[in-house]
Amino acid sequence: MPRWNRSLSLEVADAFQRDVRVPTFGSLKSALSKWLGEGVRAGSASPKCPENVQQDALARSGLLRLDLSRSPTLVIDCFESICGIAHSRWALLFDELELAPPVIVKELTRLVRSTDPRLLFKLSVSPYISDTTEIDSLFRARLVDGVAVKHDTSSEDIPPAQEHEDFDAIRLWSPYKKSGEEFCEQLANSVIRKKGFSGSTIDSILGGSAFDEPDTKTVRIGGAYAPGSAHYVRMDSLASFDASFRSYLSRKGIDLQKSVDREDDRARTLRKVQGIVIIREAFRKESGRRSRKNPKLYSGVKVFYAISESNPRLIIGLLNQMLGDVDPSTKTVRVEPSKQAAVYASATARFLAYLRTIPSPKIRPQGDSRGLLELVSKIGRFIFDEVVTRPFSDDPHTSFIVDSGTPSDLQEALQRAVNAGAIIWVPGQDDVTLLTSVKGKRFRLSYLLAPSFRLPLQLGRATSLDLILRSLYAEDNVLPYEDDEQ
Amino acid sequence: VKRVRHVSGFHLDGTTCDGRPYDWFICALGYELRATHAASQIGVSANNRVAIGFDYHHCGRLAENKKWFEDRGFFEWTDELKSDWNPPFLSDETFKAMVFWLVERIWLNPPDLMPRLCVDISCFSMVRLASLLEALVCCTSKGGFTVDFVYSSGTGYDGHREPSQIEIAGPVTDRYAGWTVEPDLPVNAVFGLGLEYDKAVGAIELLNPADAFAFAIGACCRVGNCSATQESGRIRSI
Repeated sequence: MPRWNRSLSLEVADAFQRDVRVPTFGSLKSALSKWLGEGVRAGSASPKCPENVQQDALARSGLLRLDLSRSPTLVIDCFESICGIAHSRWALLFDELELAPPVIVKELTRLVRSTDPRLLFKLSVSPYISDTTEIDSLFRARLVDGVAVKHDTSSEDIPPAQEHEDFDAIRLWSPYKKSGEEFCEQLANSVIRKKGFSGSTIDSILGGSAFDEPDTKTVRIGGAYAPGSAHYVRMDSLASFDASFRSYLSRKGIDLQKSVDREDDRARTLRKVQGIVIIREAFRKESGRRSRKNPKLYSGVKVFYAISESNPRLIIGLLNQMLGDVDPSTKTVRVEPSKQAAVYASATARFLAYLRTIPSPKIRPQGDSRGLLELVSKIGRFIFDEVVTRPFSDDPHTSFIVDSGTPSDLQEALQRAVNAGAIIWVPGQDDVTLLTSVKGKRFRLSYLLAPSFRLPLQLGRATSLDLILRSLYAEDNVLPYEDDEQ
Repeated sequence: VKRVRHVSGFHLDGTTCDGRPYDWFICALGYELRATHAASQIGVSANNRVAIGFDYHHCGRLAENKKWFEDRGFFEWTDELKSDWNPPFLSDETFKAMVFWLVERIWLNPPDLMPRLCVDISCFSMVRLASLLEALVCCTSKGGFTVDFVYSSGTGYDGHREPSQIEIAGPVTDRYAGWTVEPDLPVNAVFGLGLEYDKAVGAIELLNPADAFAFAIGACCRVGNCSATQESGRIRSI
């Protein structure tokens, strides 16, 4: 590589008509940064410099003549000719495209359809995008009489990019727990290795969880729910003070005292309600709600996968907190459940503080509105009531659908909650790539909020958001929002 | 928290550190009792005194405060302003024009030494503070000022755990917006811990800065239930 350094840096500098003091990559980078700085300075408003002088300076800089696809291919041409490596693909990442100026998005619209075959574009956008933006027109082919037509936000006659032909959509969030586990495991193990814990994995460090499903073999021999097992103890405890759970067991013909000798309906039923029983048993008592702070039940590797929501920043942050004071030379690294729960409680508290900070329109006209946090808290409280307070159900509502008559301010708050990661879109089979309207869509709360609202880590039935808000605000004797005029 | 530096307080008695009175004292004509506190301690001995009111929130002790400032010559500046500005109760727009006019005026007849200003920020809104800073920064090309900012904390803060929601977030004026010339540099954040629960923690989470510098209230300045001190503890844990 060093032998290429000189000639490649000179070639690239020549391609962009830059002077490099020393023929090195470092000098090349400095020259390009200086050029960029001149352009940004020329384009920045300054009371000391008249506008026409600024415009002239910007025009002279040559930056405006750079082409989004031609510039990288210039560098690739230099690299291939000097290094003798050809036919490789070069990936360009455009992150947070929702913030990019329309002119760049428009150019990308063209490039996604047709570009140098050596270039691969990775475009990253937030889940919700307004349907009036260029980015929506980039992805959304509208069908008229079965023929794709361009979304009408641009006057140029560029046909829309077609999914599977021009681009593939990858949703970077995981509406279902299992779908994100592989990514979380790989990233977590990579972080652990980099931290020097060579003999450990995320599995061995965090251990099992109360929410883990018993493996098939254990169920088959009757061990998972047999008297004395951990799951039996929880179910027996709940049955001792929860009449509705006892009724449920009775309706299903289940006697907890009898062990299971094969995989049958009883085992399947108990496995289905296991997550609900754990939460209900921990937070409910006969005469009302049990108050437990920082319960250790939010611990274990599966909980880590769920709470991290496949968010790389969160995965790395949680691991840093858990392993920050652990000596890498320790033979058996293990983070205690109490410490795991404390780390989640801290992360959840910071996330709630973040939600407070996000500006939001008032979502109800009466009294003080607390914006996103209030909205999220109301939904969390409803799900808690569904799972813990109300009579036992083996399929409680833990997700919601936004009604078609939802007021625009509430829709806006929900859109912001989606992009903040507080609520997670659960797309249906017919849903398009991007979320351009929350109406009629299904969502769940982020599992990161589960420790704070004491919720199960599972996706359940959906109910109407309107129903949730009306029932909870009715307790406060106020309307959740003013009905739109008919 | 990598570094903690304690800044000890000092006593303000109406003179700058070199023992001379301030050339200008600028404050807000607000409706709270504290609106006149710094003015009574420092402002009355300044060579020139300015109190500027708002065109909204005319309530509380506004009438008493107005009379107090009037009796002590804090409105003499209004004679030179356009009458349609409705002094001393200016809109935010006319306030901005007025402070630019004021700093220009100071430089028309500059004192022998660098002008010394004292600004009581206790009752100024965020927008007005931003406008004032803009005006002062714009005048640095002429030689600059020595400015002391003073603040009288109010009583009765209870560290409410549910502060009002933020409806707008962004640069307070256009002067504080724009693009950096070095976009590849990491973001650093400088913030005050304030008294409102979770605001500073939320701001850190939102900005995700590479490094952060916090101003915390020390033991000598505690008010209410010391929510800022609690906030300080929470920030330290991040």
